[in-house]
Amino acid sequence: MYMFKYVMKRLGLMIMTFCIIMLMCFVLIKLLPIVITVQQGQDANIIVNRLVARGYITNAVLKPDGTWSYDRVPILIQLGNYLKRIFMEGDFGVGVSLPSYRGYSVLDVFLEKLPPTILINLYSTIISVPIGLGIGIFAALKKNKWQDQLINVFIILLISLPSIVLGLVIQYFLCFKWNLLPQTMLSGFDYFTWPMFKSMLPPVLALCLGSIAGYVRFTRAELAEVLTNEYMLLARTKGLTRGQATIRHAMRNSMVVILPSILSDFIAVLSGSLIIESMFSVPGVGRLYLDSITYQDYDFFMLLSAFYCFVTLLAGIVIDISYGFIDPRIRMGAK
Amino acid sequence: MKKLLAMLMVLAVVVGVFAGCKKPGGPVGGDNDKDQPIAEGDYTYRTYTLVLPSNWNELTYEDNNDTQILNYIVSPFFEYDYQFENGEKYNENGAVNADAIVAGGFDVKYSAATKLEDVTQSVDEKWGYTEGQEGYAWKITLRKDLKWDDGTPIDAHDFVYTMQQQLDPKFQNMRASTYYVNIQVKNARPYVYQGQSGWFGAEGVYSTIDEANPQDLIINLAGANHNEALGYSSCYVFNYLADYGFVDDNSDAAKFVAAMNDAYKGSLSADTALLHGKTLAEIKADATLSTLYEALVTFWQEGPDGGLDFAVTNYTYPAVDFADVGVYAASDYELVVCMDSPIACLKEDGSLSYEAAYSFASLPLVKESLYEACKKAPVEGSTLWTTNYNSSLATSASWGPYKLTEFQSGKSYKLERNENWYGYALEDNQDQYHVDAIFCEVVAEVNTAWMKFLSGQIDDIGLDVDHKDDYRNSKYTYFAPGTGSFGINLYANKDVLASSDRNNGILAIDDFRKAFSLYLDRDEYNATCYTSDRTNLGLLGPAYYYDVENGGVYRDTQQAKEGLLRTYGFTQNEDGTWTDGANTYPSYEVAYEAMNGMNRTLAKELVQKAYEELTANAESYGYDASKPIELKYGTKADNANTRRNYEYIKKTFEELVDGTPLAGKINVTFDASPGASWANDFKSGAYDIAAGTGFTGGAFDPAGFLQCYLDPNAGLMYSTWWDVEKEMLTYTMPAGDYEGAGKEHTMSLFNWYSCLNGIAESNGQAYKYNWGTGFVDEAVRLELLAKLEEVVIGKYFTIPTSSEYSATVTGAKFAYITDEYNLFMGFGGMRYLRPQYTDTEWTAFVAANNNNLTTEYTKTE
Repeated sequence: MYMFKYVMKRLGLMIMTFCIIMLMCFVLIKLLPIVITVQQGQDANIIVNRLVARGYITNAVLKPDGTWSYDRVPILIQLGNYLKRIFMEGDFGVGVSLPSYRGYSVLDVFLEKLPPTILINLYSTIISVPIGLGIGIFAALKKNKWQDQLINVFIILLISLPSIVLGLVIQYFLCFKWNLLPQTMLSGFDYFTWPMFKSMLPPVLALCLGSIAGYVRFTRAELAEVLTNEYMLLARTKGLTRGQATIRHAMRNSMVVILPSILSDFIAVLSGSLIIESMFSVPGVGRLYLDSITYQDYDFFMLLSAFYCFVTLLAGIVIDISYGFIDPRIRMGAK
Repeated sequence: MKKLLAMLMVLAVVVGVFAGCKKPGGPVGGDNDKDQPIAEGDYTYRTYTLVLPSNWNELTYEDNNDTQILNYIVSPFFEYDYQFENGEKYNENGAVNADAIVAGGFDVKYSAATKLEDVTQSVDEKWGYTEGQEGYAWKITLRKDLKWDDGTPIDAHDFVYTMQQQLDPKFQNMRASTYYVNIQVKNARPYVYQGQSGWFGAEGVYSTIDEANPQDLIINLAGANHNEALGYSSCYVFNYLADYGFVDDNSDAAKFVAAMNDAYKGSLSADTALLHGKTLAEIKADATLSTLYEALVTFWQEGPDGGLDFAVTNYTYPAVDFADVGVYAASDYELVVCMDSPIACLKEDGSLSYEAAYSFASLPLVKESLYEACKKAPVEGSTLWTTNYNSSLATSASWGPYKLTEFQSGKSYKLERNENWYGYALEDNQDQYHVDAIFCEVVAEVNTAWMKFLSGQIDDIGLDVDHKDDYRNSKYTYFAPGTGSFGINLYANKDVLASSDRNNGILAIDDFRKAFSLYLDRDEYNATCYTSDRTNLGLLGPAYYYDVENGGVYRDTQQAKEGLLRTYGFTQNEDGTWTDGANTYPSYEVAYEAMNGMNRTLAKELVQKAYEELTANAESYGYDASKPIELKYGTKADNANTRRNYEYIKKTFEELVDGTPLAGKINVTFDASPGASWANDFKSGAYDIAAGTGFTGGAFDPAGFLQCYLDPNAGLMYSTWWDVEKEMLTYTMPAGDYEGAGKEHTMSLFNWYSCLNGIAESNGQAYKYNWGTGFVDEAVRLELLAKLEEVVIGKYFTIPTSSEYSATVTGAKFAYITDEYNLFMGFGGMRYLRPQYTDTEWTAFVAANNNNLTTEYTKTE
């Protein structure tokens, strides 16, 4: 019951926070000045009329110096129209200024571009978590021995290298020099075929190598600390083998810290890796958010803001709740 | 300048007609034998792009990027082709006779049209043409086998329907202006503007005073500030006087009257200001006001309805029937276009002129059923109709040589042969269009693109600075000149600089900017900062033609060369030789060859002079000797290229002031924060140095290109603080048989520019000479053009540095039909591309080279 109340309370707060953030996003992006740029051969009247007709500005007047003055349509009216569109028509709008996506339904574009980003990061997580945890456990068990030192060297190397360098190394050697993998992700929507999976491997490797290093370091540190606790000695004296004691007692306790970090990592990468996606031509969402601000594309910006805001807030709740499942001693909302 | 026209020109390069479906046998597999026809096989051309187009809709496309698919799915009425010696285009075996291609030559041929007639004198009287007028109305006879890619036939009514959609005011289509700005179709503008309301200068929407509704006309004598408060913009007279600088404080009607008195040396009563804000009805109802009004109009005396010049009106453009727009079908296959300005599409012998394929190559075309299905009504809060026609695979239609078969937004697209294209059956184009499919993928990272190119996965790549040393001399690298003319702009608005916290008032001193120009090593600058751009000392590069039919290049003329010599300090001696002060040159040509725009000794002297001026008038320049001078280099992005550019300019400034009192005092800083608004930010003085700025386009109109520097109304000038409508130039026009010949004239630079382009009258200029193309001898126009170029450069607001050259490394899978660049045909485009390997052979070839073609692509022979 405590848990239920706690979750409800958190969800309520989440919705409130979400609304406040979205309101701020809408107002702030709409407050940016609208730059009326007329290129050679274009009719300034058409450029301005389009802005007027879209309901962004009104009272546009050409001044004697050749520039335009205009009044902004009150932001609250624009917000009202925006909300009406979403709730009455289910229309999240169309791209207006983002190159490649002008005139496209922002929801369609987002939904089309999300799967590659999710898949690449999912594969990366699926690969990196077992490997990272496995090596981390091994390193913790071999703490301060030569195996641990060797692992440390590689881990430090991988952590030190930014993903762009890792990506470049993978692309140059695996894809170009040795021709083992495709240099860019294949086109098309058949995400679950072998050629497509193969073409996703370079960005997956570029992403997961860094993650593996992180998990190894984290697991090793946590596990090494837990392994030195007195209850581990007690477990061994009770007759458990080293493996049984490690898995049943040490791992479970160290997971209190490790599992939330895995969850938060996965959620963070939903936003896509701008550099890795760009390098391997992954048609993901990595660049969309940044570009939507650069090009002042309101509808893209609002949809993406809403998505990331929602995911981040939800992740906070999920991670908090997950503590209770991993460690029964933790009871959220209990007095 | 004429974006659609430029697109159509590109189209002319890539689109042509294919030799039926027959591909005669012949060798392939690396044998670049131009004399043999291409063998049967699958030939896929793979390329890449940084950004995919958002649509390929002729009515709405927004920029050149959007044309990358569009170019292949439309067809021209008339198109350029190579000129072949003795007209022998083909060898006996049917292969294109590449050896007979005339360098620089071109032909204009019919493509989707079969006939073009000037019908100016025979069209309905309602179009208002008078006897003797030519080139205003054209009848285009279409081929009868035009089809969409699904086999649906196309006729003249489809073009008429499309034009109606193009101009539909509900859509405010981006490319509507093409048909009233570039090609001035009768009533196209009123059709687009119909229903629009707002305050307009009365002389703009009325030709005569509307006596029936005098209450609609409001006399407006005050300036912009006052007008804005009232909600309407300025009238003609106010703008006219403001342009000449007679109204400084533009917020007061009385001052306006006084200023006008000064301008015309008249004797208007100060009471005339009472007219301000009154309707014509109110004025006419009051005897005193009527007298003042009559005095005002008499004083002005610009015409019988001069009162309109003083008035504004809240006007709503009336409804226009599309039947009054100058595009209609005379029959199922005859299309008539009536225009407000003529185009000389035919030569005297009746053959097509270059204008036919340049200005009049095509009209937009959409597939009616699909277009109607793609229309979208305005969403909540909007009144704008939109369409998603030609923005996805499902909404695409083609009547060009290729059709879209795959599209993934943000990732890739594929075009394949459109077997319903009429062009493949034309006899005139055998042994062309061998490429079966074009696959284009987004590759945003240059290193990724290079790896794909070197492993044979893409067939061309733009040469960048990082790779130019390795591939510049490759036999696979092709250089092509462009019209782009670029330079470094220095901000020089003294008022803004003096109040800047960067202590940068020295930029307002002409000598300082000139010193920078004379110190800059343009050859080194271009080699350091650009891949293939070449040094250019003029505002216009080497791709501007004043005589298209005869290949007359402006930059190669004596007038242009002598103009630049004068600009950079050369003088002509009495014996005709030229000198730069240190050396004497026997002719202008030799002097021109020797000129590099540098004189570092003089540059140092000018810095000294500028420093003396700065310290002598420190207050007026806002100069604080105790602080360093900061010159801010602004740009839209922080990347290797802009950093390289910044570093070079910084170094040049530091070396320039070294050994002068300014040594160590100048600090050039980098700022990429302007982003997309970099141009507006420069114009407002947010930063001081804008590099790589310039203009492109207008290859056949060098005089018109000057609008970028001398026409404030075009909105293109970077040096917005320079009032070219006040800056006067006294110049004696060359002798000849034309109005104003041999006389010394003093007029504003804008007036000179307007006269040169034959638009002085429409620009409302004081002197209305028409020295436009065809009205005076071309040599006269060249003289004046060179003079104006000299004057603009002489202000050193813009330091010309570079002319555009693009460099492309082409893959070994395909070869161009000729290595000679042709202005009209490029290197032949997709149309003349010669496959050297089938797709299968290419895979084997690449594998045989261990998937690494670096060695092959660095070969020089």
